[in-house]
Amino acid sequence: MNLRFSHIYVEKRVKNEEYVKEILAKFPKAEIIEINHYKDRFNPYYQSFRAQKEAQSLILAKKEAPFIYEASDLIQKQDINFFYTTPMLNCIYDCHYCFLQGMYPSSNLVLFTNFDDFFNETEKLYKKLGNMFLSISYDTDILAVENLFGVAKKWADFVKDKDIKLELRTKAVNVDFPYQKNLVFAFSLSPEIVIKKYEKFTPSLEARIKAVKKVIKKGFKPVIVFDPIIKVPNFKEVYREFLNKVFSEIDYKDIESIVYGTFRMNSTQFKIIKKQLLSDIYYYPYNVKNGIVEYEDKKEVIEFIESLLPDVKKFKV
Amino acid sequence: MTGIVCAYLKEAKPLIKYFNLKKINDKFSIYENKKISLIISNQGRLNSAIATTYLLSTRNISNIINFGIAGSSEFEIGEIFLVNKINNKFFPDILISHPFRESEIICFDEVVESGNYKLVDMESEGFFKAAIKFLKSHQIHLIKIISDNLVCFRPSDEFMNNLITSHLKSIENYINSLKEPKHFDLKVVENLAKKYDLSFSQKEQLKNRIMYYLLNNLELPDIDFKKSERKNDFRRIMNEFKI
Repeated sequence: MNLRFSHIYVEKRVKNEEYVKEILAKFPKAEIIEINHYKDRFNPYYQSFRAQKEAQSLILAKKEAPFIYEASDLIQKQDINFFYTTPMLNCIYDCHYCFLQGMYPSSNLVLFTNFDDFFNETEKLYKKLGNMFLSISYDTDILAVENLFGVAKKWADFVKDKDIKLELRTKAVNVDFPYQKNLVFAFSLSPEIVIKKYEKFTPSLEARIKAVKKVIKKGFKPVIVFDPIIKVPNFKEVYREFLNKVFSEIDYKDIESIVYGTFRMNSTQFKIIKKQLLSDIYYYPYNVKNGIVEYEDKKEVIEFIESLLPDVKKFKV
Repeated sequence: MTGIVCAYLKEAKPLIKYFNLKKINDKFSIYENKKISLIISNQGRLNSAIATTYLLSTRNISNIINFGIAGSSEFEIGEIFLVNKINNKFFPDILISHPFRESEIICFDEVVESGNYKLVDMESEGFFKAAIKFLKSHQIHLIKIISDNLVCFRPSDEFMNNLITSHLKSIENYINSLKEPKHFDLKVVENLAKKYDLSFSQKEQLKNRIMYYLLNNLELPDIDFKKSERKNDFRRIMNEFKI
């Protein structure tokens, strides 16, 4: 039995908002529990991130400043003025390599409902800079829950006539979306074996490729993301076959760029996750360099992957 | 093992009988079988915290339940509830399906005889605050049965028995649905470490390698060479694992 969102925690200060009422109406059987502040529910140390993943609760809350962050060096900066924002915390997917496991005490999904505050802050920064590249899928997979919450649509409307590229990085296949020029669809693709083993609750490779094709058919040039590349047993064979499949089905001329990188993680987060999650990813022999855990043979792995990539714009970590 | 903390023996008696728990010789009033350990705390949050701490410090308990009666101005006498919020600030994580209704509870230091409250009791906060020092919030449970609509009274054994007995089967089902944590048997590491006199850090590296194998369903190599010198032995062992 799927218990996701069987419990919804609502901050008192947002409970009367129209948007909140609309969301609650979608979950008539859920237990609705009033809270003072989302951090009362989200922050306590005595929660189990892992156990909660099996029955995620939803928290509806108001975010306080800051609303916009500069992107970390651990993600790919595909553009100048690269920022990200966090309309949600956590994700309905459960990827073993996800850094959020080591960052948050809870895996419950927090959805911030004060969109206007986000938009006002973004607008201020945009006016100062003149253009922006803004990711709204950095701490979550926003398209995975678009049918329920409609967050990406709200952001797409906000950036419509602005020089802001809005990145929708996703493993979801829900791309029936009001298309517009400044949306950047970035599809994360992995070998099926990686999806099955490490990307719980996510769509299959087949379904993801179909979604990429759909976006291309609509006249978009999506970004394809191979990140993180995981050294599974028979790594070379697995990735050769995978990349062959991807580029036999998707014409590389139809994509904007490729973003790729091997598995890496802040070593503190790595240690925290290793204590909670039983996954072979955390038992592989790694190097720790400047506080970052990465493959001992990262260079060879990258070279091997590069030898299989077509001639398009590429961004490597 | 599941722990149960009750304030009064009167609340515990139907459970003791139903689960066939035996009184054991201990500093506290404790009743046990192989799967359940029940402790009587006496009234109040401090007593509950002390008994909870004692039980969790002395037993290998993976889930703990505060079971007892509660007052309510809203619900009917005899209704049973699983608590999802205590004093507006503590949240037991309810991650399994269950047959109960859910409610918040307010924990007071004195008997409450007026006001509008879904559930009130005198132990829940103390119990929860003690339990979180040992367990995660999804391993901590509070099951309450409404005994009164905010009146001070002294329930008889018969009253308590009638109140609780009809719920025993669903309580048993709930306990049976609680998950025990998984453990990996890593005896092979201990055996190799002992045989080849490995250091702590070598043992940790070996553990990583063996875990990687086990989690990939790979067959562990059979390591049985003659003991020589620790460093060489360790190198030879690690070479047996191909990653």
